[in-house]
This record gives sequence, C-alpha cells and structure tokens, in this order.
Amino acid sequence: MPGERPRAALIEHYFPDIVDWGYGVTSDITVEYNCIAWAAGDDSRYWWPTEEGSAYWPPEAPRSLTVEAFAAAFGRLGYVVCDSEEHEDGVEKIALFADSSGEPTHAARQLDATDWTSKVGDLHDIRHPLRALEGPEYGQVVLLMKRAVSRREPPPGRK
Amino acid sequence: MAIIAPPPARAVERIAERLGRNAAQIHASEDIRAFAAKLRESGADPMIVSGLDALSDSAWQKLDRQRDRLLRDRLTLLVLSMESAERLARCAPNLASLFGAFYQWDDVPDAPLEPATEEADQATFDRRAKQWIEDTQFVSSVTRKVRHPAYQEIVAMGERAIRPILRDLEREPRMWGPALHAITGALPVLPADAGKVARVAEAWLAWGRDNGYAW
Repeated sequence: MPGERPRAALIEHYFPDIVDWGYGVTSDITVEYNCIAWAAGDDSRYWWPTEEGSAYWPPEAPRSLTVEAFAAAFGRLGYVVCDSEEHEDGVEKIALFADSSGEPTHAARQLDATDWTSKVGDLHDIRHPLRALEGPEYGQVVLLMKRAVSRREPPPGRK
Repeated sequence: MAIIAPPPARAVERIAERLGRNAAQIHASEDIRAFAAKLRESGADPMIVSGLDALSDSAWQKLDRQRDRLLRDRLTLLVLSMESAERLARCAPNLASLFGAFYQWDDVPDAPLEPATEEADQATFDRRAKQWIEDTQFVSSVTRKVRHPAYQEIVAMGERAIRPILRDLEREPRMWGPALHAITGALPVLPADAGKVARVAEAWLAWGRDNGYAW
C-alpha cells in the first residue's frame, strides 16, 4: 500500500506528481552511486561515460551520450532490447530514460509486477511505478532491455 | 581575463572609465567573420567586448576555433548575460578556459577589476556551489550536473576555484572531478578507481597536496 511506504520531502520536491503515483523510499541519501550503476546492480561507484575518472564506464561500450552507448553498456551485462515493460518471471528488465533531444538522463530496474527501483540523483533509492518518473526532469522511457536472472541469486534492490 | 554578467545599463562605459582611456570597446555583430576580424585586428589592450548575447551556438564554436588568434594574451572583458556565459562555457570551452574571473555585476559594483581575495573567492564558490547542489541533487546525469550554469561559473573562476573545491571535496565527495580537470587538465584518478567517489576525492586531494595547494 503506498500509504505505508516511507516518503521523502526532497523526492517530492523535485517530483511532485510521484505522490499520486505511489512510491517508497528504500535507502538513505548517498552519493556513492548513481541511477545507471544502481540499475546495473552496482552500488559501489558512479556510472557515466565521462573521460576524466569521475565515473566508471564499461571499457567496451562507447563513451558517448547516446541511447546506443548506454544500451551497449547494459548489453555487456547480458541485457538485450525488448518491447514490453510487463513483468516476466525469471526475467530482469531495465528502462532507460532520455530527454527530448535523445540524451540519456536516468535508468530504472524492474522489481516486480508493479514497481521499479531507481536511484534518484544524489538522493535516495526509491521503488515506484515506471512512469512515475517521466516528466520534465528525466524525460521519457525510450528503451527497455531484459536479461534472464538466476532465482538463486536475486539482484540487488529487491526490498 | 574576466567575464561580467549580467550586463547592466552602461556597463561597458562604466568599465571603460575604470580601465582608462586605452580601453577599447568592441561590439559583437551577427556577421561572425567580420566580428572575428575586428577582434583580430584591434590592437586594443584592454578590450571590452559586448553584444555577445546575439551570438548563436555555431558562432561561439567558430570563435572557439580561433581562440589564440583572437585574444593574444590581452586583458579582455566579456560583458554578457548569464545565459550567454553558459553558452560560452558549453560551445566555446577553449575560449572559456582563458577567463579566470567571473563577476556578477551586483557582486562587485564599484571595483569589478580589483584582484579578488581568497575570502571573496570562497564566498563566490559557496554561493555557486549551493545553487548547483540545490538545482541538481536529483539529477543522475553527470553531464547535466556539469553543464549547470553555476558549475560552469565555478569552472570559469579558473585556478581561484581550486582551493575552495578541495576544501569542499575534503568535507564531502561531490562531483568536482570534471571541474578540477577542466581547470587543471590533470588526470589523477586511477582507472581502477573510476567512479568510486571516495577514491576519486582522495586522488584529487593528493593531487592538490602534490601541487602545493594548502586549503
């Protein structure tokens, strides 16, 4: 039930519509990792295609600010492009957001039939319906990817 | 070199009065080739350049490619809006790197060309950093964080931003690596530590100590 979930004023300040969607905070504030890392299952570092070391980027993926480069980065983790955001047993999905110019802005990872998990900038991890973060800040979901997941090794963030 | 924004009424005339009679005023034109030629051919030093708010992204990019021929180590002041200052940083990074001081007119109404003190630099940094954090703490994109005008204003402070940045970095490992790299050209972070914010901060702090900075 959305009403039972912990909320955060800062999240609601930047995403006022998220209250109506229903969401829950699942971590303290941290700057240790960002949304791309979190979607990739890595909570130890920032991921972004920078050149000067402030962020990690898979060496085999292009260092460019394009949906294709981000798809290649997730592709290195076994993800392939898919069409549906519906939950499937034994399948893990990620969604990439981009602004109107096609520049990637955010990524989320699917948790279950209703919720996805996101690291919101330098703030909290949250669980939320996928479309709850669409809008002026993160743009729209422009790419969905999926991979098979082992039942014996649940990915991080299944809270 | 300095950038003054936003341009108040009669800014150019008032700056020229302070600089003395040798100061030349050059107004940008939409004909970028003619404008570049005017900058190249002017022997003025110091030079006050206004009218820059009319320049497009591509015009700034063209000027960026001619950087060394345009300014030739002359004291140059650009008078432009905050929006244009952001455009300068984004579209003409080589040109922007030459400008070590960024003044908001209201900050320094009486003496915009006085050498800044360390206290003033810290206050300017604190103000810009606070704005940047408030505006971008929900942002996941490093690119967007770095592109923010307040962040670019800190970069435009040049070397005078290094101590305030290192001071802040020691307190909290924020995303200051791109700014320090833009200012110094240094690459102190080991590839194995890329993205690990505590290690990135440690690498830059060690770089600061190795290069004689005390903060």
